[in-house]
Amino acid sequence: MTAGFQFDLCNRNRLLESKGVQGASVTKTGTTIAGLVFKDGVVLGADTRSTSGSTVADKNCEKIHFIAPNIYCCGAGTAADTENVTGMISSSLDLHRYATGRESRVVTAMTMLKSHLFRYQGYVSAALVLGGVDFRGPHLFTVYPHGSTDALPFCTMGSGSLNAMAVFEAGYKDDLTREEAVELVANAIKAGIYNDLGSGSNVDICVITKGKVDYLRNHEYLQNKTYQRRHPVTYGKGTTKVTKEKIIPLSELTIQDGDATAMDTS
Amino acid sequence: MEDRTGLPVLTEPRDTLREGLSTLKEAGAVVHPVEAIQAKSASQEEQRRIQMLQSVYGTALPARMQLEQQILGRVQRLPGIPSSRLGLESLSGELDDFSFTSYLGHTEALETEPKGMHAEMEARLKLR
Repeated sequence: MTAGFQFDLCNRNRLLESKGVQGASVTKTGTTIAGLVFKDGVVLGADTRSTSGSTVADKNCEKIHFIAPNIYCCGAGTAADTENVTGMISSSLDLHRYATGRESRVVTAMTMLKSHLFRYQGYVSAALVLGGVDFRGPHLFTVYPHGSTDALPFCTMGSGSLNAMAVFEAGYKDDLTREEAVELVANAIKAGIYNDLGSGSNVDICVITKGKVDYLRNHEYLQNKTYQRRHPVTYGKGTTKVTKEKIIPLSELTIQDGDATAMDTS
Repeated sequence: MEDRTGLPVLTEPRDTLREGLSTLKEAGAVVHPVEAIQAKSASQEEQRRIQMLQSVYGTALPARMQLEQQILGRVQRLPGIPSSRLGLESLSGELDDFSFTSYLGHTEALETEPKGMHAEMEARLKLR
């Protein structure tokens, strides 16, 4: 049977809408995502707010998805679409790696994503920034929901993309160092967070170099928490009044080497 | 195996006792563009692949592949019981693919009951 999308409820939804019932709003990731190629690799950055209409659905969501050990992907658009598409392509690449016996290439992931998105003619609303390092060097691509792609040294996507792109255009140079690149990407994401309603909360950064990935989750924590809960809760000595005390030194205990009878498990 | 002549609405397996007689109104227009895409894209891509093989390797190779597909597709269990078509899947490349069907739509996870073997066999043998 056709797995994937089911359409038996489409007629019912149309009937309900004609009667005036409002449908549930989709959880989008009104987002700022950005990527940059520096001297040794790729830096990806994303904010962490996901919205459902005008409410924040998730204050600290993860928008940088794993595709392969050397490839990561930031996703903007409908949250379910980005997560499921990147998950599917990640598993598909896994099988591909078993079949070929080699490290995955970034262009392979890009081609799989673009053919899937083109097949669904833009109905799978996932705008992605794909970055990674393979044997041919660092690569950075953007994939649009209708299936077109761009290969660029720096790119931004999402509702905060113009804010972040302004920062990139002002500050980008070829062959940045790792620290400069991370700072530039963090500034770009912060421009989106402060100036765009759909982006907010914290900054996630992912630095991919040859053979190494640094996933800096919550690299900048911009939410101001008034109370930090400590888990597990520790109570100082004397919180509860001690009424009786008995100390048994371990040296007084004897260990018996008797027959260990097995537990009755039936 | 899947050659049914006549309108799909009238010939596809249907539980008449639970759902009533089938009407032409249900066939109607396709409700969503994505439904049309899902229905056609598999066969269209297969057609494109065969055309590509024909232009690159000549007509003999895809003809032999189709023959092998027919032979491998013949061994199947009755509908309702999952049949492992390993040879067919490895020939068409489905074995190395990962898509929606690999993790969604398993019969164990469906909310609705499957049509049932008898309805499927009736449709296949055109006993309705």
